[in-house]
Amino acid sequence: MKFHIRFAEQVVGFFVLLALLAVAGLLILMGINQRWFSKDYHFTSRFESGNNLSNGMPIKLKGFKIGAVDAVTLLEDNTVMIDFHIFDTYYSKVSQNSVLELAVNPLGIGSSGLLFYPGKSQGPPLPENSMIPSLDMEEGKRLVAQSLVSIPKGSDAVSDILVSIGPTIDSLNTLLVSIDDLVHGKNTAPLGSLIRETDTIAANVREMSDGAVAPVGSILDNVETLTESLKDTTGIATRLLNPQGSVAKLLNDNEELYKMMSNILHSLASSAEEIRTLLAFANEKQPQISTLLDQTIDAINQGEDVLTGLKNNPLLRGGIPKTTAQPTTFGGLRDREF
Amino acid sequence: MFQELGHRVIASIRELFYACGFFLRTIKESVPFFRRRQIGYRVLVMQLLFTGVEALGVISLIALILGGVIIVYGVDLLPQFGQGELIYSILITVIMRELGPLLCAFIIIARSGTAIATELGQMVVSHQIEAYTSVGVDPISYLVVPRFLGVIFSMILLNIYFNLFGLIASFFVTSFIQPIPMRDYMYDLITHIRSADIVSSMIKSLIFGAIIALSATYNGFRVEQSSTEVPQVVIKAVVQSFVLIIVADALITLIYYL
Repeated sequence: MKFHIRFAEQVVGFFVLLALLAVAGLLILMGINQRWFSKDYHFTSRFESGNNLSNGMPIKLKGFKIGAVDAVTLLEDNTVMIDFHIFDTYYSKVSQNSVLELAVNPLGIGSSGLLFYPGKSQGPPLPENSMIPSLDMEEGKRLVAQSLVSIPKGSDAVSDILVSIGPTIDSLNTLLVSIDDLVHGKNTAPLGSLIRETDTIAANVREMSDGAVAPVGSILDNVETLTESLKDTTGIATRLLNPQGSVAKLLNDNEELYKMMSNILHSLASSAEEIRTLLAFANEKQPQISTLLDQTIDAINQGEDVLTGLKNNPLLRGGIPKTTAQPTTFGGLRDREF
Repeated sequence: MFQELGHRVIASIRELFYACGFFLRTIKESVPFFRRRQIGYRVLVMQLLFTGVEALGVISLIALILGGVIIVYGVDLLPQFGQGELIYSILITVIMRELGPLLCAFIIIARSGTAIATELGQMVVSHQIEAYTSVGVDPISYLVVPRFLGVIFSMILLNIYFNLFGLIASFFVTSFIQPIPMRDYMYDLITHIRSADIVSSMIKSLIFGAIIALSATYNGFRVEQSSTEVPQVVIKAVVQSFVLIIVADALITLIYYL
């Protein structure tokens, strides 16, 4: 018989027991974590509106959850009453003159919550089921006005932006007024003076340009006349070919100009012939020069090889050492000094 | 045609009443079961062994893999949208409230629902039921009730194990891939579990177990003469269980959110 069938009752008992223990452990942990066995202190508060108020909404003190809303009720006078509880660990914070404030993100994102501000009173905590005013109601505002409760400055990014919008608009308004003064020349600051001077300079330039218009006009008339005369090119060709013209007179000089130019060309031809002869000679001698250069290169290479061989010769490297006189070990008695 | 249709409708209504009667009779016989300490107790233990203990391996494996996959995906994806905390709500919803009871039920249908229907069908064919009746043993109290209770208890226990493996053991598995501080994980997980989640999960297990056991035993007894009827009633029991479980799951979830 298989083990688990033979000991079926034990196996099933263990199977059931383990599951029950797991459930019991989970329930105990949940109870501790979710404060099933802790005492909560119940209070009430009033608000003008029930917007953004809901059951289970957390009540926070400096970012810590210290309680939650239990119920939201609309009263006969159209105000809204909330019942909420504070955890026993934070009950001592519920001092006299404490207030509540509904915190809602203006962008409509994230969770809203009720912010709890403890009063400055040093007395014992408020008794259970007491009424804690909200900042919606007159009593809460009065407590703040009398500085009986301290409300720290909001530190969220959106609040900071909203707070800084007012000064930014003021600055923008001042800037626009300054620009308006500048434009109308009322500003006495350096920038105002600069703008006024610029205005004067512009007026002077305008006067100068008005005076320069007449000469420029006459120059333009001359250019126009010249352009008109250049339009007809047949007149120029006729003047150039005229036998009485300057070109004809220059060419009609009994060939003196031609002869001069011919002599110059002859001289240039002789010089070119000499250069050619020189180049032919150099060209003729080129193999000999080339052979000479090759031989020189060979001689240098051989000399370099000899020097390399000398350098690498182990006997000669470092020079020839000084020889030390080695006395002979054998000598006659007559050589001895006494 | 109208005669045929009317006949079918009347037959269906009769069958429905018969099934209701079977269900009520089973419930009625289940109440004094533990008080009597009869021989059916041994049948209950064996049913728990076959349906519960023997299915633990496959259940734990599925739960481990499912939980691990959800944790890995959640830890990777959700913080990108600033919703890292949602991983616990998703785990609890998927493992504890929805897939846990459903997957356990499907596995029990496949393993035990078919086995119960086949066994009872074969007993009918071999005239064992008639034999029990002839010696004064009530087949409902001796054959159906232990299986009914056994499947329900097994379903509840397996669901507990599924949650344990899916929520806690899968954390240890995924720690090798995505290290998460264990203390933070456990604290946040327990913070997010509500008593309503546990109650919903247990109610689903209870109802699904009852559906599987009743469907299997009821269809098992529907065999009349031939052993060829047995596979047919087994298929019918499986399909009926699936459909009824899905409908019940939808109704319970709907009631939870109402």
